[in-house]
Amino acid sequence: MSRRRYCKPELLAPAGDLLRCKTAILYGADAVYLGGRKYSLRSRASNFTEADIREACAFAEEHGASIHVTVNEIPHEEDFDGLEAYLKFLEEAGVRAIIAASPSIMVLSKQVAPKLEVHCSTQLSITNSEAAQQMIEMTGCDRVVLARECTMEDVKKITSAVSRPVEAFIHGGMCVNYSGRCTLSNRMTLRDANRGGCAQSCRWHYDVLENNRLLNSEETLFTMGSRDMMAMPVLEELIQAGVASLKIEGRMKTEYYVASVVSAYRHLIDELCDREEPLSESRLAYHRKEAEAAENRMTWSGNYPGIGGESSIIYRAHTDADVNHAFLGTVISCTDGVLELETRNPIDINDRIEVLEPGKENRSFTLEWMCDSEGNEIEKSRIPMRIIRMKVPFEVASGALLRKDLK
Amino acid sequence: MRQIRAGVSDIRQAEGVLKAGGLPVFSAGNWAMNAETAFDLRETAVPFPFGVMMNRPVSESERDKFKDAVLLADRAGAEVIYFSDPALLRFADEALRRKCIYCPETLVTNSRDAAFWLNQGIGGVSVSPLLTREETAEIIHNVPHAEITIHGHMLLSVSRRRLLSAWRDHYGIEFEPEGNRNLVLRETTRQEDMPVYENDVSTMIFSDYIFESFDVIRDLQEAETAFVSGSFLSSEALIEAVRIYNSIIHGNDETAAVRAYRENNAGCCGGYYEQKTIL
Repeated sequence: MSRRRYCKPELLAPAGDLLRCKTAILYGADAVYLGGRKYSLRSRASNFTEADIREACAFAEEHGASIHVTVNEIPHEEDFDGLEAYLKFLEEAGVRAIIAASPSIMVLSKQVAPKLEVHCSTQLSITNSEAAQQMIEMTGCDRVVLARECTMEDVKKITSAVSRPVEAFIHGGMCVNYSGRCTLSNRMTLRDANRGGCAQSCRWHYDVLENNRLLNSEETLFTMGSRDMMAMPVLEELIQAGVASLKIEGRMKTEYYVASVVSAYRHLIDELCDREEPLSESRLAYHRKEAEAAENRMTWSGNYPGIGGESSIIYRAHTDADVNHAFLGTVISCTDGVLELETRNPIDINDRIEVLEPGKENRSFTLEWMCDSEGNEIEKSRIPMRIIRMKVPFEVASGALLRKDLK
Repeated sequence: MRQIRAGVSDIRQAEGVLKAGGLPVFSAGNWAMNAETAFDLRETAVPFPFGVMMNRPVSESERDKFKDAVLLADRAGAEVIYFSDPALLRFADEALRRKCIYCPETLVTNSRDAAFWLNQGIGGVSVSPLLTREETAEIIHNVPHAEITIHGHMLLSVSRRRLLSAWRDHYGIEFEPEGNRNLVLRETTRQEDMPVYENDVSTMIFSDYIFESFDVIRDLQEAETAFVSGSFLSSEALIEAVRIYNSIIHGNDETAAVRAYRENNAGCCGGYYEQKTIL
């Protein structure tokens, strides 16, 4: 009987700014992908200056991680202005890889910045092994990021057939349409989806008419907003398939989201690869609960178990009922059992509070005492971004995050 | 400009396009990203020049079937084969490559990428219709063998998921989504109707407007070829569009015919020619 393979893959996390980049690394990301001020999708993410990129690379190197930079817009003629210098800068700054969707950018990068790895973006919709191998041979790219339309069978065959590592998405928002081929946003808002302006028109509501006859009511409007991906149930299969890098989506997401999701996957990957056997249902459920704590949208396993149908779409409007945890704030300091916190959401005495700290299992306590910055004892806190102090039954590191379960 | 090509749904449309001076392009099986009726090349020999559209991404399990379908189109005498999946280049020999047009709808937006694909030995590259007239003109000036899309309901999105079936199943709404060409989506705060089409492997949404290039085609004649999409156009509108473009590029004045076309086909507009998308 052949032994199952548990080669530990890279955990690749998103970051919209330097704080989130450092958070991702501290909470266990092996690599972080981020965008510069130009050439990147997600134009509304608070993208990185060149100084930020240098600092991110230095921080990553210090912690044994690496930085990937998205150069993944579908470029128009003028978008090449300054690109060569930018690629050279990324190489010199210590960036490990660029993620590119334009084959000519891939080739250019290999010519002018040969130390940079080139990763072929999911925007190119690579869904089979021959397409992946062809892109590798045509562009010299070092890694292929698979389309989110791949099933597990596709992934297994592609990873076993191609000559370079393969990266696959495991968590976060999903385009319901083939990435790079959707221009709904262009039509609806004139914002170019392929250059970072996507307005997520797929999540809007539509009437459906057949020969001018309305098929829906106000309660049954058509929408195509996809559930977010949450691939924990198939993570073991992805690892055994030989996927080299597991990618979390979400450069627009908060520091809390990044910390929660990265931490959850870090623990799951480590546990799977250390034990070299499938986890019990209860352990998997534990990790899944951790990963979903920061989610405010319904999730599914992506197209890995089979192309998504009815259960892959969110038909109802978003409500606060989708939020299962509230982020309370970031710990500023903790001395002699009293921590100082900058608040984000309401906090009440007797709340059950969880502490997320890099490299540690989450701990929790029941809040018995807190005061405002003047030392006045308070029963509740309702003002965001205020400083409060609270008693905790254990020491907590600065930078730790607090949350409470709302369910 | 050497030729106008047009997506067609049947032999009758194809003959009309030919008579109007264009090259008909059939959709093969479910391999195309469009709503034209698929044409079975195994059953019917085509007695005139034609092309074949096969430009959707191909899954791992479909690779062999895709290869068979491309080779069948080649053997059946297709003059051009539109594709977007790079897997085609793994099995296409030099002669077959010269027939192939890289046509991913949205991805070719600059001269360098167009040149990259042409350097793979293929016959042409289809420029994205999301560009301004100036951007389009620059690309077709810089690269040979460029094709521009000039007319029709533009493809706005393609999903691998069967979104209409999923919606029907969720709410129990009685209608048949697959293969139904009588469906439109209307965003709830707008009036425009966007044709939507689902087949067994995808759902596609098309523009409410008919993109047209009557006023600019003379300025874009450096393109080697131009394409008229047949999705959701009547046979009359499709064939008349091909005739008008063909006549204009041969130096004729079609002002009256263009005016009549616009009167008979509501919602004609120039797409992004004069209106650049923003970030």
